[in-house]
Amino acid sequence: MNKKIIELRDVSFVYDSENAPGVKALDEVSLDIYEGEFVGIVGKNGSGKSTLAKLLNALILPSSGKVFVGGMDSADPQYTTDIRKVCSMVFQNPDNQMVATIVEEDTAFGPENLGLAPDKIRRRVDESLKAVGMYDFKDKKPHQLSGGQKQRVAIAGVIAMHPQCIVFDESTAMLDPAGRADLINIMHTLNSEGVTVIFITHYMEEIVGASRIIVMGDGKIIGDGTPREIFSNPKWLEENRLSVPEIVALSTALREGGLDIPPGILSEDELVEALCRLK
Amino acid sequence: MSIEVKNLSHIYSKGTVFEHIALEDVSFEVGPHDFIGIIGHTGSGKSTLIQHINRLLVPTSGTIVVNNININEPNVPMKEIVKRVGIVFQYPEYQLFEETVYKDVSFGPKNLGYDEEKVDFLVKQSIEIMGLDYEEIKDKSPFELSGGQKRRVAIAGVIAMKPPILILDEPTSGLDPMGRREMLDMIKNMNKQLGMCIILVTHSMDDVAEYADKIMVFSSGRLMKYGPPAEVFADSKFLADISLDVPQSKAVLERLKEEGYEIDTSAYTTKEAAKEIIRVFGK
Repeated sequence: MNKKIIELRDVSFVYDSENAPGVKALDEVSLDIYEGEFVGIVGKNGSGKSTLAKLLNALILPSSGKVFVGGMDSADPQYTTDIRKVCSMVFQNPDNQMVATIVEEDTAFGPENLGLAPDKIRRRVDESLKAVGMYDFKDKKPHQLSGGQKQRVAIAGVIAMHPQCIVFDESTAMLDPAGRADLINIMHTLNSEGVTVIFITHYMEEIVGASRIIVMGDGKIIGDGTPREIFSNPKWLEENRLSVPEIVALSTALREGGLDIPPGILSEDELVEALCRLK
Repeated sequence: MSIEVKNLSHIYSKGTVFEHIALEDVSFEVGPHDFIGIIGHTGSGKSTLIQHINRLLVPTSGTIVVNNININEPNVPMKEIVKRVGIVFQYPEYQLFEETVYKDVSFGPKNLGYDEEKVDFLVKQSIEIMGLDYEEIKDKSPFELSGGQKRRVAIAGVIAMKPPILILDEPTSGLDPMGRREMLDMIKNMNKQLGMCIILVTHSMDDVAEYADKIMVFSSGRLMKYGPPAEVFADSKFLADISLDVPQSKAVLERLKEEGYEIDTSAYTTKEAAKEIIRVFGK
């Protein structure tokens, strides 16, 4: 078994605002995530997904319970900076995440703040921009980029910090199909290089390639398994305001229509193969 | 016709080094009860187009006629355009600003100069069309509501002006799968029950496949295709070339055809595709 990178012990989080005092966004959640995992997190609106994400790099601290990132207690202020080095975040809106006026300066922002030597910064910026396919755009200004390109630059800025874990909080929501596909490919490439990926999304088809899916509901973890396990129960997902990927829906319709299609199909290839075996 | 767009071009920063052609010679007509889906990659001109339909942008050349009014004639007051075309932008809930839901939704009709009774009626009706309980919600602060409820209130504020044409830019983004379906069903309902003309801008092929009667495909500022879903999705190679994809169910049908099966690939919804596959592969 790999090392634990994230550990949540009985974590609750209560939002206290003037209008809605004492809303429990997370309710005694315990969770272990191991190095090298690709974890998809889904759940209806208000189920606690984003609260969970923000706890993972000490943007917020638990109301009760403990969060450990790379073994460090997030409530201990001496670790805050180190926790953010271990675990970085990419958010939803590409326009809110750029801090500089030129792409490569934006990517350099993190490494500069780590106090690295200039030649080292240069190297990290170049390799990060290459990793997301944005090296040719290094001299561009943010407004010259599409939403998908800006998201890739945001990721470059994160990669340049060499984090062990990246949390993507609905980072594909504002992108077009091509931008989404690019981003998901980048996530898988990073994951294959050893980065732990935690990906929050409302689009079920985006996480069929995850190694594990966590389903949230009303501040609790209500499902935790492989994509095959989670998507094998469309009714239960619907009861929790979720759905299955289109291919799973089609396979289910075919099985209900009397075709001998095995359960657990997740991709176009698998379905076409299963059908070809029939006839 | 409800909307007639003729030879519309829009060039941003014309005559400067930043000159960018966002729309190029776009012409189309939309009927009064149509449900149109607009698809296209980022930067294809979709948002530029919809902003022309209620004069938020003025064409570089070309004309836009909405319900028989040329909206760029100098004597046409903005009020007349707003009455005809409602636009719901992305994440409309960020635009809520009033103290109560009632005040927020009534902002539009009040500004159109309607009397109290009519405003009252429109506010109640719009909130109910959006599937919310009027009595329960009207005195609440918009900021106490959940994200999904906020979005519905924001849309209610637009339909309270009773526009015969409603344009929505990605109204389902950020909603959970069930919320997405509920929102699209509500929009379909406005089209079918209330007869509103709907223009839906989206990145989801599956959504336009299931809900729209006709689809416009934009690429690099040009209207590349305009027709019923079956026609638009028939050419999957063309869609791939402009970095869009066909609905997944259709992709499966096409794969099966490539494998040599005698299968009709025209279906584009899950249900229809399943029917065709069962026809071919069933006993």
